[in-house]
Amino acid sequence: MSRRLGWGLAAAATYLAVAVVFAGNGPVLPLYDTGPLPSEPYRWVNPPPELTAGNLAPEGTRQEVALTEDAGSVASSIVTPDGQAALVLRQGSFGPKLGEIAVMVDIQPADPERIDEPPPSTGYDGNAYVVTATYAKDGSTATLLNPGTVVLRSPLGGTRLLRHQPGTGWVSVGDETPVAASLQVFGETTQLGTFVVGLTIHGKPFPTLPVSLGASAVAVGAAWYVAYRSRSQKRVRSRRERRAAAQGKPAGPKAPSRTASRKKRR
Amino acid sequence: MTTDAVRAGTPRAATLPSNLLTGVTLVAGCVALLARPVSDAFIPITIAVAIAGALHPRTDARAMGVDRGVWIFSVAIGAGAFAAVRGALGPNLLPPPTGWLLGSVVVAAFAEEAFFRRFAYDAFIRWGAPVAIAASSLAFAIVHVTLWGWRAVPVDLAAGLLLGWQRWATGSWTAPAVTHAAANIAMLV
Repeated sequence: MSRRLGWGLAAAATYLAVAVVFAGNGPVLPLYDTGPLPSEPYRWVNPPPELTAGNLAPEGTRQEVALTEDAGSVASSIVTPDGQAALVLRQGSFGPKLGEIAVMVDIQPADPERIDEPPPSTGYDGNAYVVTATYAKDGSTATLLNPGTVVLRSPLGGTRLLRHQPGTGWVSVGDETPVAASLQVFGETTQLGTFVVGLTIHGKPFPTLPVSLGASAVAVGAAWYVAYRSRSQKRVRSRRERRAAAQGKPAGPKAPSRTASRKKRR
Repeated sequence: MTTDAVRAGTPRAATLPSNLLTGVTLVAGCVALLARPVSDAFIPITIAVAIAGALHPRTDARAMGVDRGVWIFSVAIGAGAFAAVRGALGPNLLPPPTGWLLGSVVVAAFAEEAFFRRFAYDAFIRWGAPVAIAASSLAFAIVHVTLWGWRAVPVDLAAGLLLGWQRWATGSWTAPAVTHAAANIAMLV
């Protein structure tokens, strides 16, 4: 029991350490599986014609991030009420400023088509989000001192996070992680601005559904056959035992294997 | 650990065709989970793979009896670890939970555990509990790559080791299944 407990505590400690190192503020969750997620319909600024009827307006948010005198801003997460956009900030993301006690972070949805053309072979996947930060009292722009994590949900599962650079157009933030499970893209950025999820337009996508369905059918078929064989073998064994019992013989060992019978014949 | 597990659960000798078919079930199940798209087919495919795992006859004799005290204790350790990590992560960045989501994460957890901790663990137990735990955890981590990316592999591998320990300690796949379901729900709230 104590050895079992020891292994269990070691496994739990290993998991805690690994999860804290790899999952802190990132796209990795300690464990999470689900079906089609999110089940809430995407809220568009400018919906495709077929989705106009049921579309709800996307929500923005404005949140205060407290400043400390020595370390600057505190660690915080700013999430829009509809969960479509978020900014995760580490401690010290904004520097302290004389007379200021907070930075206002603002996240507002926008139509990407009105901002710029998409990059080649790329389509917009959902709304753009304009993320700004200003010092609460004087209204001057607050710049990021540490990279922040931008999280955008997309309707189709786009894999790129793009930031708009005036004069250049949309550029990839570089350090981005698409999470298919939640239709989100996480990206590290050193600058705030306007972000959108980009969907690479492929010629032929990988046929995941037929492959997955086919493989699951093979798995069920193979498992069923093993179960069927195992049950028939058990039935044969018990019939043999019953016959032996009826003849008054002990059940004894199983019938010799084919190899053994062949040796005997020789 | 090895001696205990092997002594306690001496696996039944398997014939070559049944070994081959066990391998086919394992590989096909992993491919099905790895390629499952995030669509309405996600849960049905996960359940089909769980059926494959549940159909396969068990080889680990030790799984027949479960000590309730050990079971509760191992679930407490596992759920405690997942809860601690959830607490350390801060606010939830996933969309707000719905009844459908909560139901589907519970179904997905039981289905995956039926495949990995019941069937895959059993398939590898003839080489000893450490191999069974490691191999089932590795397969578990790999099938999640398409959902969470390669960055999730160390976390899922460590989660698999913890769930594998529960399987070994209790002799039953239900302890990791309950823990996995609780962990999935914790991620949503």
